[in-house]
Amino acid sequence: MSQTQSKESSQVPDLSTDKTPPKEEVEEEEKPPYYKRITDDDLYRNSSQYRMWSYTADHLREKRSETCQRATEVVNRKLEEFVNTHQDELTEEDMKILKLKASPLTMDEELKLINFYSKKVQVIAQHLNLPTEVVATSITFFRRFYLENSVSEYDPKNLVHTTIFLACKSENYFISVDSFAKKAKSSRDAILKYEFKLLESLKFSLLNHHPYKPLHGFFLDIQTVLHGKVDLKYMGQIYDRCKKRITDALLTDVVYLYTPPQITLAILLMEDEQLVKRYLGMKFGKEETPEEGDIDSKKKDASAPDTEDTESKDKESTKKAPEDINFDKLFSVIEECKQTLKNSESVSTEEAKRVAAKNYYCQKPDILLQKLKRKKEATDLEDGEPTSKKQKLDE
Amino acid sequence: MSTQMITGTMDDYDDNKDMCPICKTDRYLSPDLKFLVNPECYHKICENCVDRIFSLGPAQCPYKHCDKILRKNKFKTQVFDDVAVEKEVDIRKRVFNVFNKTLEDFNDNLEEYNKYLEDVEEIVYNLDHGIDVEKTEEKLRTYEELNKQLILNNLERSKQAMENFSQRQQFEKDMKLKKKLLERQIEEEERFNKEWAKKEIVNRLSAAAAGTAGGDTNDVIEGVRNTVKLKKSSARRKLEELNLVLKNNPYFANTNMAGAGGAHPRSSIPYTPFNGDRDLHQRFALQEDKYSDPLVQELEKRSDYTASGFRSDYVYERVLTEAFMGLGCVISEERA
Repeated sequence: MSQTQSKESSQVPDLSTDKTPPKEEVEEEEKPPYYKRITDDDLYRNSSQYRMWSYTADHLREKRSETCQRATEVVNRKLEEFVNTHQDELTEEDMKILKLKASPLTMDEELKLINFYSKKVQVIAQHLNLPTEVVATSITFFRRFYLENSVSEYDPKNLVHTTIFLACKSENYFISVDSFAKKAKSSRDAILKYEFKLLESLKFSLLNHHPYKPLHGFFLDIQTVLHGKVDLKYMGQIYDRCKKRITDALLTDVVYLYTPPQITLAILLMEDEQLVKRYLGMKFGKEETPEEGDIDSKKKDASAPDTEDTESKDKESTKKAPEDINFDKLFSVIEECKQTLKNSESVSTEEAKRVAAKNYYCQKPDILLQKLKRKKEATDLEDGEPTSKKQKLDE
Repeated sequence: MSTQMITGTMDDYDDNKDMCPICKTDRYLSPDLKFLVNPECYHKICENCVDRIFSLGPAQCPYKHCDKILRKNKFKTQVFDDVAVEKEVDIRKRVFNVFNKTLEDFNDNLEEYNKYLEDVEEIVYNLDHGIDVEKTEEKLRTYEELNKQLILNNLERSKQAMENFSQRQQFEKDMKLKKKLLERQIEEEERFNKEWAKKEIVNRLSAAAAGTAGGDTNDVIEGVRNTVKLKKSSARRKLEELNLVLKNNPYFANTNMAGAGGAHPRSSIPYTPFNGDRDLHQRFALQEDKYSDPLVQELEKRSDYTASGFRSDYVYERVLTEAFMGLGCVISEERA
């Protein structure tokens, strides 16, 4: 017994002296190649949202025009084929109509249709009583899909339910296909038909950073930074109003152009400009040089925000934060984002209907001709001389 | 097994699994019936028939419409029920006997090795599905001719590895057996010692009572117990030695070294997904007492949330992190 005891007692300190110190040394000395500290911004830069779904305004336009052009070519080719195969049956009048009415959508028209249907996705998803994040994700998925595909390739009508269903799954709000189909008054096959195509177009990146969480974060951080200077009840109201605005913002292009925190701040700016200015001024030091601004705010936070700035100012030059936020730059970005948000307008139902009809007819010229014929017949009947014209048409 | 057999015979007599289609003998009449297949056509024939038909030399498969010439020495027992699986396994065995390079042969170039494996899979697939069989066979043959020495070396190596493995297994088995024996021995000794101690105490106490009355009972009991403890250790020591041997097991050491040295040469460095640790400078400071968040504070009070690990500071930290995550990324500049 005494032997075993002594063994144990001698082993335990051995372990501690042998193993732990080298570990620490290794961690400090042997860093993998290209080692660097990862800031929160770098984390975002690693996200799929930044890598795959963030564009500058020019890139976004380019991307859309590319997609549109691809679709236009297809539609034009089909139209040509139609004209060629039906050459004998088409009268000159028909050709004229075709030239006038059956033309592929322009980029702007496509965008209008997409915006209209994104709104529809939101309305339907909200009608199904889905959580806010699911609604937001379905809108995002839908808009991303039509960044990669054109409305003339895939009818947006068919994708509305698919995106909502996929969003439910990806946001961990599971509903079975059948019960979803029942609720949405759609069919299982219709929902699942484009699911893979949708996933493929999304490049299988399903995680979204929506501005809701940043809003919550800023809601809290404003409370600390402006502690005692802001009415909590008022903050709560602002929070609720901003939440609604975020959902609307998701229907615009800002999600591609700015990061979620920036969008959040822009929305807060729309709600209460003074509050945001004061907050950001305190946080990122409007007066200080850009390098010092960030640290300053941090120190302020750490040593209770009520204390005066002078105390922390002395120490701040010793350490340098890896990535700094310049107040002026941040503010200009936010201001820009706010303007983009303000400038985006919703699409009226009539306009959307017109575009959708155009989209439909340019793909199915035969139906367009039939419809026009029928219309003509109807007017002809009213005119009272149906037989002669009808014969002509039949020829 | 027997019930299965009976239902089998009841259900589909014609397609009987336990009857030889050639001589119509079934398991009911000869219980030690055995079926063999030939990798040429995979038709099932009973052992007796194989002996009868093929002992005089190669002959045609007795199945109707099957004109394959079969040899007796190629017959084997079927391992898998599904003939397709059996066939693929055979093909694989054959191909891998020839294409037996390992990662080491490619100087640990994973890409090359993967490419090689892909090629091998292609050959297996082609042979299995009857695509370009002649061409593929030709490929197999030429490769075999060209790489004869390498193939032999690799075969030797894998053989050795197998032997090593079986040796190690044998060693471990032996050691475990020894350990069990020792443990049983210790158990028995302990029981014996306990009984002996009981008796000894009674004896000594009675002797003390008979002689002078000054003997302390507690002292006597303590003395006996100590002698028992000393006795115990001899068997124990043996077991400890054995454990030590098991620990320093040469086979074990080998495998451990290979595992540690080959796969994780730098396992001492913690894994960091983005090639670096998180920056510890945060843009915010968590100050729970200053937050007024009715929603989170409400949830904190509910037992169904707290029971599953809900903590408000986690929520706060997460939303604050998200609030400052990407605040400094200016997309219009960075992605231009």
